[in-house]
Amino acid sequence: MLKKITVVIFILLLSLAQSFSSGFAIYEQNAKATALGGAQIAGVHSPSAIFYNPAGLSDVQGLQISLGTTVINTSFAFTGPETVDPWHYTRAQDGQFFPSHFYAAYSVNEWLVAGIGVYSPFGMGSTWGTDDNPWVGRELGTNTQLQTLFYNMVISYRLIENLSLAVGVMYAQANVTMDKSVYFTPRNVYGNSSLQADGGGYGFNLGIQFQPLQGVRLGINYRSNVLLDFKDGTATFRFPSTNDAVIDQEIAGYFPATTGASSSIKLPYVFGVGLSYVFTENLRAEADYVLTAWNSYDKLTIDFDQPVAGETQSEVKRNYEDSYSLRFGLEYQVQPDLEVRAGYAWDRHAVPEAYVEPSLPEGDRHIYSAGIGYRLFGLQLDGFYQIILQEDRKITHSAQNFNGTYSGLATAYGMSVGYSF
Amino acid sequence: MKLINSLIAVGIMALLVLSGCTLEEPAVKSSADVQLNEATTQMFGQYVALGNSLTAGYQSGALTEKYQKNSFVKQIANQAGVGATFAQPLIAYPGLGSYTADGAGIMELQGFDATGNPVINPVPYAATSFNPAMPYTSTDIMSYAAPYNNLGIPGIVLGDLDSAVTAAESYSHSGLVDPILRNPAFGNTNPIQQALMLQPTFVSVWIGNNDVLGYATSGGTSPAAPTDAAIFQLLYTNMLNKVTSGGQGAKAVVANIPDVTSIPFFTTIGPKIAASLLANNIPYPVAYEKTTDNLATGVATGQATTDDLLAGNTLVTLVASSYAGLIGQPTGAWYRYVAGKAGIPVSVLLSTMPAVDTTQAFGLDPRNPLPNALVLDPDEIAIAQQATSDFNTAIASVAGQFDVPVVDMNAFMKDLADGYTVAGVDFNASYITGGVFSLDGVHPNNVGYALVANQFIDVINAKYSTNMPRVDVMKFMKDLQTASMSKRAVNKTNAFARIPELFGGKILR
Repeated sequence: MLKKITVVIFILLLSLAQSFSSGFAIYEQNAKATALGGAQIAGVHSPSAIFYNPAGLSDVQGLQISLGTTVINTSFAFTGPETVDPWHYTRAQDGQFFPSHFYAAYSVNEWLVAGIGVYSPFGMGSTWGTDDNPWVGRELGTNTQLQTLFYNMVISYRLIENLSLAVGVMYAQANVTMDKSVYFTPRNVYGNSSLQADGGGYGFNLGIQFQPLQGVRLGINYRSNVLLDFKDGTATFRFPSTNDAVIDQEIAGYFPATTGASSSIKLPYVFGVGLSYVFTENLRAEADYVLTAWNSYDKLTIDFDQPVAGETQSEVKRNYEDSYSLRFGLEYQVQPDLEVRAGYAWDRHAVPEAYVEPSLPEGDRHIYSAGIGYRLFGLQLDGFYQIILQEDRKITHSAQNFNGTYSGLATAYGMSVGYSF
Repeated sequence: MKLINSLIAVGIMALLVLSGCTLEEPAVKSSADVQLNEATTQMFGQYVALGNSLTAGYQSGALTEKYQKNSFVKQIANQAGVGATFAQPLIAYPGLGSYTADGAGIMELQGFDATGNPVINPVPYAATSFNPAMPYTSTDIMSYAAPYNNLGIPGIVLGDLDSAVTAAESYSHSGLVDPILRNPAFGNTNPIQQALMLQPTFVSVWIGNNDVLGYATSGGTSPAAPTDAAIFQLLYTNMLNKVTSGGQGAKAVVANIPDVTSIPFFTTIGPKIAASLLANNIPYPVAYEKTTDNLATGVATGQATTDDLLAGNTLVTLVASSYAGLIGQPTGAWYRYVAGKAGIPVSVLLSTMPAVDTTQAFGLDPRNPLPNALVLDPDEIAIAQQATSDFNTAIASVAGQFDVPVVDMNAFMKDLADGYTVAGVDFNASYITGGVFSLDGVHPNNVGYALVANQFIDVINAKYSTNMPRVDVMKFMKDLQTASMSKRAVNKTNAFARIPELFGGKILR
């Protein structure tokens, strides 16, 4: 019964996920880790290790599960573009997203632990303007949503007393929606285009944890590229009737009402190293460096089954760059069943200046977090609160001549519940 | 326990502080909120615009209220807060222009034919209640007591600004001189005199385009040469001297002249001919008439390869759109049109040019070449570009002398030709699909004029410390959508043959 309820709750929780780290990565996959600024590669030893460093599973004993969600509230705004009105201020619709995670791990014997995890490490969502009141950048994007769900099976093996290795396979599911306006120049008519597609892809992950000295732990985490293949998608084009059959026909000739569309996106690999240190029995700290190899996303190519405005392919340059974050966490055990945590992370942008556009208004981010962990009736309860301050990003050389200033801010809170059987 | 309590207290306080974090919004959320400063309100106390068709708000071969309300000078007046009092000689639909003599007004796009070519024709007056003799939208406009603030007169050349009084008494003989200057009622005054009658505080002048366009749009035939550069400089000096010294000592802005060879009027047909020759594996170059032939030497012809046509080394005017499809056929269609216009039998016309043999392949055989009037060949391109460059040098030097800023429309036109993106919408100088030129292939459309207005606004603000906001091009595009898109019956006039005349060019034969 418990299992069934768990599954139901879980499905309810797994809805949308919003970009939080560089590019459209989401690093908030467990409440304890997030409270620690995400610095967990060396120190993790709970089922959430499946995401942060699968070698950390080696410390799991028996059967443990962990389930949690994060509530993310985003605000973005854009001032410009300068070619239209340098003062023009547009606030994106506030976003609220609930990326969730579920982990289970079981120690087969004293060397071998197997685990399974479901989580959303990539995603984005942004909505600018409304149908009735379209915004100035409507041709660049009005509504963009990308959701992913990763299924990850790992095994972790304790090679010697102070060294563990892990390997896993991932299957990723994704769906994408991209809406924007199109302009039929000869007749001054605006229409809407919408692209929707589901896709999937495979990848793998590796982890190492090593304890060279008492109180010192090192970790390495690697998550491979995943090539998301979006097949059998649909592109639709809707234009208002112009009350002129000839013009309507012209438009229909350029823009099919609906056509098949396909695309692919290569998600970046992620490589992280971490060092944790136990100062006293009660005080532990960790510092991580995480590289996200965003240069995998150099262009977005969409193939149409029927020609759209005379073309069967649309290609948009993205030219993302590798990005990295520095993560610090501090944990203090107040009493045997209570821990308080604090973290800070600095996350470098992945989108180069020329290619920042409204669907992903990202920039360098300062991430502050705090949280507590508490044990109650055998349950491990972890909660956090986080604030993400994005540095204002002034674009002066946009490839789309869409120059202006992006600003953004997000807050998040979340909880994970763990249980050891 | 004390430690725990204080930790929890600190935690709760921190949460309260952080949860108050929201995205800060600016006080000014659009330039519409910007209060015009004193420099702006003073300078625009009385704004007068001088110029040609570009200032008048000419589009798609005619001047009519539907588009005059979007003339770039009216848009500047709007942004400066004086749009309501900026008087324009509003002409009723379908307007006065290139086809008035044929009994028609503005050109409209009726659709695309089976091969994807646009079907464009001017709207005949017969289909409307338009009266060319009383063309204004209202008697209030007709009898407006002062000169119009917008004194842009389609077709005029630089020399006309200080001399044109009526169509007959002007260099350009533009038919639009009369309805705009309204002489003799205004004492037989010329455009500059009327401008000064208004005691202007600010004058914009964009003039000189027709001093080279007439030459270019007539394929280098009539007039046979652009205005002389030295005379241009002299006239420009005289003009700016009068404009800035008269009245209340008006401040001014001028604009230079775009390279005419990058407008769709010249860039559309040549590549189409080349594509058609390549698609049909026709290995011959296009033959064109180089200069007016004479009985002694026969037809002097030149050749343009498909590469020449694609690269724009030789330009074919939009007038040729009705004849490009006939290339390779034994036809005298062009001469029939010219003879019909002149009211003579085609045999009479052809007897004056015995070297032309219309039984040969049109446009391919040197004995039946593309007529001179339809082609701007490399020599003529060089002459037009040299004239543009000379005029622009003169404008820069004279404007500098009078401390008047110059809007670099030549550079802007080059940007447009390369592709100009505004908030994700790609504009370029392509005909119809480029989004900034009207159907005559020479004049901007509504959006094009908005972009031009913004170029002026930037220069004016920078020079005179005014703070006019730019025209919101995106809002403008959105508003245009609601404009009616009705189609009307049309007459059978050759849709482009009248365009050169607008610039003082003539199609002789």
